[in-house]
Amino acid sequence: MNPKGLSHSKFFRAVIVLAVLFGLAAWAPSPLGSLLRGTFHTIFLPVERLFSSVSFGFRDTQEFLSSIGDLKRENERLAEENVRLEAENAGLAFLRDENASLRKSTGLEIRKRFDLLATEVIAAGGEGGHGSVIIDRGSMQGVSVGMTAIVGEGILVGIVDEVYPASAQVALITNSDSALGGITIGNGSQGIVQGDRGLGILYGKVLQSDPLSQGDQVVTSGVGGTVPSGLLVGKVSSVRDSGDRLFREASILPPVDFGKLRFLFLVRKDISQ
Amino acid sequence: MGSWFARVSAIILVSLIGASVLNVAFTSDILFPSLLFSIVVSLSLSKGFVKAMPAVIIIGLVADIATLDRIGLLAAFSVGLAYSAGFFSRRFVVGHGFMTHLFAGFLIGFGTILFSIVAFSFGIPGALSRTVAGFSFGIVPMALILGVVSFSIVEAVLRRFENWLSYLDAPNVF
Repeated sequence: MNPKGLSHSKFFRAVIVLAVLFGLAAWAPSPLGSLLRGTFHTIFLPVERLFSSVSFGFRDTQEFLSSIGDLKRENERLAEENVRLEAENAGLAFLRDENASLRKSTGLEIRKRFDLLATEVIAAGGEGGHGSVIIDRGSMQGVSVGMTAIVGEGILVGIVDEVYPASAQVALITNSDSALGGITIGNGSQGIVQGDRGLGILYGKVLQSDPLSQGDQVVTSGVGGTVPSGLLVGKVSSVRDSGDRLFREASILPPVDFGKLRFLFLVRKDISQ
Repeated sequence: MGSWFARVSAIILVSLIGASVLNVAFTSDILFPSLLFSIVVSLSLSKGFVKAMPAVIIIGLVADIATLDRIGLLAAFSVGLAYSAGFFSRRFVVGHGFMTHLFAGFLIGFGTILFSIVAFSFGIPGALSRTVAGFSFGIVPMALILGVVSFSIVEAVLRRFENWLSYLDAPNVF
């Protein structure tokens, strides 16, 4: 094949295009990507909102139908648990009354910890589909880069890493780019909470001398100041030495399913401080 | 003009379905890549690689933007699969029918599996070996079956869509 023929061959064209595209993916120009994503998700926000609400409806119906068979067993289990919780509740009610009277006597009011902004997930993707989510609030609603995203009573799910006018991208803590300070409840072993390719969460850089065992609960340490302290990350499921054997590391079992997130709350301000 | 608008709308619609329907409603991470690769393989088999390439690149890039993947990754896989579809179909597949569907479906399935491995580890030092080590082989039959099914559906839809576009492009007989 002469050189001209080679340059016009399908194979040559495919190789050139592949090289350019893989180069683009490896380079990952952040400002360009942010601009393109921002434009796309701003223009198509109403469609994404419609599609995601229909999808959530479909998912909820599917989960309800598939759970009918388990309802009887679940009911029996809940009845047993209810008896146990009633007993526990009685004890807690006593402590609550005692706490309320103590607060009254010392002049302290019970306050909410966070000023929160409610958002809904409208799209998901990255790292095989579950590394990041797009939420339906953006800079126009006061969202800024670095805001912490939580669910329930203070369960950490991610951090806002890109903000568009009417939407924003939240990097989940399972995302490989996520890293923040963590600490175990009880024994106070500090480490780094890091995402593992959108699949799970690792708890690393724990000193060999620090105790770390299966079942320990990991919360945010607040080191760095971006993420509030005391947010639940998850429970240690397995512990091992790091590759270089200098530290210990663990896999963390999160309390929420990151593939099924719908409503997130962004922490505007930690008002307990 | 009408057909151009219809093509662009279809590309955007597919990407929105990926980001806001498949990635939101299902925990499986192979559904959208499977759908996307079915489209690019169908395009390559029906038009030929060279004619299909611009559309394949644009579909891949828009999908990358919509689904928050690294820009260029889905596009690169789409081009690779489109070329492979053209290359292997000339050598192994004769005519149309069941064998074409089986061949295309398997190609899409293998492309989806390869993508799911690379997407989890691209650009993360040392992640590829961990991803391969933790690879679950249970995904293989699912990806292959999904490839055959999605190709059959997409190929039929695309054929009707192309017919409709040629109707839009046809000169006004009146």
